[in-house]
Amino acid sequence: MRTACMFLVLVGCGTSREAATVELPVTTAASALPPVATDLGYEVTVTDLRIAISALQFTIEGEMHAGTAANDIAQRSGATSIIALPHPGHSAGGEVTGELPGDFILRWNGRPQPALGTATLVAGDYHGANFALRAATGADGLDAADPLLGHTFHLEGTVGKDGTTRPFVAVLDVEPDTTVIGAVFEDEITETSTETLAVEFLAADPFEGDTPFDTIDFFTLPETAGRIEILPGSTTHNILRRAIQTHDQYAVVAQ
Amino acid sequence: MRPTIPLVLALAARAHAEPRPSTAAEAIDPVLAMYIAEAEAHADAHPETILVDGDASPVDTPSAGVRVVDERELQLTPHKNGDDLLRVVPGLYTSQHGSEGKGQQFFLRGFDAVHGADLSIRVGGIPLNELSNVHGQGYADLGFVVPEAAGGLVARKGPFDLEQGWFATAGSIDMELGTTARGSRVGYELGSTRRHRLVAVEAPVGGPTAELVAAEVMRDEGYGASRGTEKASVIAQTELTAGRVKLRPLLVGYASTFGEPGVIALQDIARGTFDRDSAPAGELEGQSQRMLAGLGASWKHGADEVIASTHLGWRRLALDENFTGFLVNEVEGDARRQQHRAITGGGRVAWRHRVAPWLRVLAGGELMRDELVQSEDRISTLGEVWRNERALAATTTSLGAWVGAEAKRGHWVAVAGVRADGMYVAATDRLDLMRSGAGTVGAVSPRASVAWRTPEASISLSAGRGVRPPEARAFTQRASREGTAATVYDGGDPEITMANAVEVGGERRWGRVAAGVTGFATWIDHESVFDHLSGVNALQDGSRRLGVEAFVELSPLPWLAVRGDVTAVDARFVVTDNPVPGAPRLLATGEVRVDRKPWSAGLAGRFLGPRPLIHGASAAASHVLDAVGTWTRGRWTLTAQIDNLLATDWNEGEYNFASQWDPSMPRSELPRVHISPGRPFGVRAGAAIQF
Repeated sequence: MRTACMFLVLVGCGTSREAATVELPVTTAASALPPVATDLGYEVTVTDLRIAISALQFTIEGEMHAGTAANDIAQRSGATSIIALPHPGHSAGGEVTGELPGDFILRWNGRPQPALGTATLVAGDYHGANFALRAATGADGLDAADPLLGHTFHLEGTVGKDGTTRPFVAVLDVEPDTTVIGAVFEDEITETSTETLAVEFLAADPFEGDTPFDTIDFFTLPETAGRIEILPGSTTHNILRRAIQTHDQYAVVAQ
Repeated sequence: MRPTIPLVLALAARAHAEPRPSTAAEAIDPVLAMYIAEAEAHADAHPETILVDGDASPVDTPSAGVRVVDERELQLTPHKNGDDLLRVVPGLYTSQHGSEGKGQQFFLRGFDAVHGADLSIRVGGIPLNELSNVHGQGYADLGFVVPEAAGGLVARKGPFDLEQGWFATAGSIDMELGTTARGSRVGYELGSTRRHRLVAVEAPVGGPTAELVAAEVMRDEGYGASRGTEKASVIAQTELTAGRVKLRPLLVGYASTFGEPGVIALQDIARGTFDRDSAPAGELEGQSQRMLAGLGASWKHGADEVIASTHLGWRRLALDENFTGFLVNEVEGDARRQQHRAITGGGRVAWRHRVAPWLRVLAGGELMRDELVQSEDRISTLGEVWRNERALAATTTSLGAWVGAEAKRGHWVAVAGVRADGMYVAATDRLDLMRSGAGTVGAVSPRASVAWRTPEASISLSAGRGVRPPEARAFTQRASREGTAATVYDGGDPEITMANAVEVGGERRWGRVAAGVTGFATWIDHESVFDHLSGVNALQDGSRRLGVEAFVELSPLPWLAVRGDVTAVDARFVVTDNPVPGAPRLLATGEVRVDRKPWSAGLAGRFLGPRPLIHGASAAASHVLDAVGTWTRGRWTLTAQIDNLLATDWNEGEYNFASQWDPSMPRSELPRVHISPGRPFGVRAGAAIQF
């Protein structure tokens, strides 16, 4: 049968054919974020995390050699795909082969979240995901008093050390056009795939164990109404922002 | 029927040997004598022959994937320009995604050779592939070739010949300049695309074939929008003999302007945004200019012969292109302007020494120096530069050398040796001087071919390595790692890409019928690809190509020749098992030539099977039939050429990538199939008068 198919492909008067695609729902993982231990000995538990993003993309590694992964090269270039301007015959095509366009608020609070939408993916062997970070707006359906409004990250949780636990909140801004490139997404997508794609926040790097909260001495930070605050304009804000916007903290898994 | 390789070599040897008494060292071996007898038997069928490497005895590398085409066959191949003459190379698919004047995209033996990265092309002995051209490594522009000045070509598929240098990873083509039609000619051609072409050829009567001046001026509005071309070209070559030395000076001047229409998404055609004649990119255009001087020399005395050549050229290429519309930048658009200027000089010497009647020692070397300045900028819809992306000045000093031996004994022929290629590159990044850098790369390529041949049959086995150099930009320093995670790939050193190939073939001849079949395989362990955006040398996983070629040719009547060939290739990346995008899996061509004065005609058909595109898309199969006919009476010759006789809608190029031309549609970065439409039905009629 396969031989017959190959023969038809070889000699058949085929017409142009677009790549096969499949549409899959995308959501955020519903499980609660596990507590993580920082290098300074704090145990940080994020109970509610929201991130304003746009344009979720899914990428394949293509023919790049292992260790030369396309996502790494893209991250090096600061672009969302390794070829900025495709050109016929010149590495035609970026490596983005799946996408969920639009603006979204990613949320992890231990409860199931509504689907972000339906992504379109070309059948293939996927190795990464990208998304752009942005400031949340009223168009995201936020109340005027919502602390995420006008910002990109909003985290709430608790931090403990030596038997003392305190609540904390962090509101983070990012530079314009900041993108997260190369979040882990290992999945073979076919025309018949039916899984749901869930975006995960990894409070600790699964390979190196480091966390975005490393080097932050929480108990020395200012408090408001008994709650530690990390707000734009502070050094701590910049430390946390730099760590939390890297691809190490995110993954997409099939459910 | 075209002469087979041994036949031509025999004719070449005979042509050279006849004027002088033969010596023991120059004695023709029995196999060669048989080929000469064969040649004489078919002298009427192919009165012209070309001499590989000038007048000296060519090296008879007996690989199977070689085709020699003479001047007459080229003239009876339907053609619009010099590029089209390459259609006679079996298994070679050329694709134009700009318009006439831009370099072709080449596909051969499972390689997407882009604009020449894997196909070495020489014209008049001068290498055309441009090192580190801003538009693509190895860019080979044949636009200056006046078809009437093409005296024949030799296509060598695979990297088996010791004299094949850079870019011969898939193969090489050597086009000779010259004409056997002596005298003065002036011709005019009028085409259905409002093509006006004036050509003049001066080939002094009694002069050598290589002596001619050919000039053309052409203007063509092209089919569809923004496909117009204007060009002027002049080629002047002569041959001087001084004792045992023959000199062949060559001068070339060329300038062209051509449209850059872009490529059209099939979805946009289906939606009605564009039709097949549209030019999504608008009125963008490119310019190509060249000045070239060359000098070939040959010398033969006793057991020694030397073939040498030197060349010096100035080159400019400027391209304004947009293939993605407003995908990357919704306001300014994605158009870019590439500019490249280079001065290239070089020389080559091949020495052949006969140590025994059956054995020759082969040695040679070549040197090339290339100085280039190039830039790539993003331009707005008004053509104004809004961002500099690339500015480079570089010098490349390239050196190649080979040594080997050629043995012919009885029915056996063998050529074996080793070749070494290296280059030193100094690159200055003019946008960031701190990133300027330099480096040296080199590679050794063993090559060997052996064949058993009789006038009726031949079997050959070849193995060899071809090399593709890294581009100059790859030698710039890597960007700072500050702020970059340790796990992020930082690029590798620039490397030569090496293709290891083997080939086995057989050919059988029965009188006026010949048929042959060749199997080939090529492996590339990994490729070093410079990614222009990230500025790193990315390693691409290895690839392999397995294929088979077959041909049949017959000459049932003295004035009728028919040929058909088919090439099937499976080209894949070894890790993912994905097919090499764009590379044809099946390509079949057919040629019919009628040459019975005062009439002559040529019919050329091609079937291209469906091709795999990147990310699982596929390109359509296509079939095209072109024709040429001439009638000569007295001083007059009338010519008619028909493109796409069957008026099929075919796609010359198909590509799969994202674009955004219609602002009313949701923005998407998903790849979609784009096409570059092939030539529609068209007619060109011409008249020439001989003085």
